[in-house]
Amino acid sequence: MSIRFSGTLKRSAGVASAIAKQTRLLNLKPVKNIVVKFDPFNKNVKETREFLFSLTGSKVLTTNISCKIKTNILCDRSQPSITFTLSNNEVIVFKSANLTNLELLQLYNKHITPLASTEEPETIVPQTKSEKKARKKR
Amino acid sequence: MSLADLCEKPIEVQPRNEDVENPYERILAREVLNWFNHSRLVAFFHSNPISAEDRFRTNIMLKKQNMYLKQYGKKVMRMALEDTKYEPVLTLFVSRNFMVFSPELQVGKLLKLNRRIPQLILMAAIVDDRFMSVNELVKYSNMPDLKTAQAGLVAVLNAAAVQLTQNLTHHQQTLLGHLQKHIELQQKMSNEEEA
Repeated sequence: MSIRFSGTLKRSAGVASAIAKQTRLLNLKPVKNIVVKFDPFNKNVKETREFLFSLTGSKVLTTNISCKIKTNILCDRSQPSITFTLSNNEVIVFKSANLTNLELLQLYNKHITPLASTEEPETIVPQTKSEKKARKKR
Repeated sequence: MSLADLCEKPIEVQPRNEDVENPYERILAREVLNWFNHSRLVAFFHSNPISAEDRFRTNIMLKKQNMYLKQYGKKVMRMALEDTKYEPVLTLFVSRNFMVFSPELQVGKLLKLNRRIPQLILMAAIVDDRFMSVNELVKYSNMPDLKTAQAGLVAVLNAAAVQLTQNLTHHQQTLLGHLQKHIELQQKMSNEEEA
């Protein structure tokens, strides 16, 4: 006679933990070059600056040491944007005027982070003692 | 609260109590305003994550150039700069910021430092009470100093008169030149004869 359960079992832990989760998932491996453009006097720049802050954390940077992050400060009150140049020479542009930090991170993790996992990981098979001996004999 | 009240009345959200004033914040605000009033150059940087070691190194680099690196929160800045002439600066104070104060004016060195420290990104600066963006700072650093500019102006003003005298005395000057060369040649020949 009771109605079927509807609703959530777990409660959301807030925006900060959502941002932390997305930041943990960030992987810069597929990206060759990042250019963040913003005008500091534009009103819509807060989230872009926060996103830039998330992108340049030490743990995120270690996922790809060869990725270059450049920031262009504009002086013409134009809208902020973030341009990712991938290692396969594709260019992805995020126009971040009306996006929040969390949305930017989610978009990145939706479109660019999956490209990192398609690269096959190098499997190092450890050599056994007999194999090493055989090698030495040669 | 009766059951009827609990069911029908919406829960009133208690507003955050920000009325409690912190005297340390007021001291910091006074310090910030003091820095603003006594420095010719105030630079505003956006800060990416920077380790304490890198921050220490940056501090040393700047102190050698007589520049001082400071970081204050939004609340303290608002307390310090509201209702003063520095109010437009508050629009920059979104996300993390650093400030560099200097009693001397060295815009070229500031731009070089901006390139050397990757975690700090220069956004704007106050130069001698003038709020400038990055483009304007670059233009300012490329301009010659006042004396050179004044010398240039004097040269331009005298240009017409100088041109006139040159045109008038052109033939006499060439004659003078030829005569001097002739004298030199003759002296050379006489020296060779003696030797």
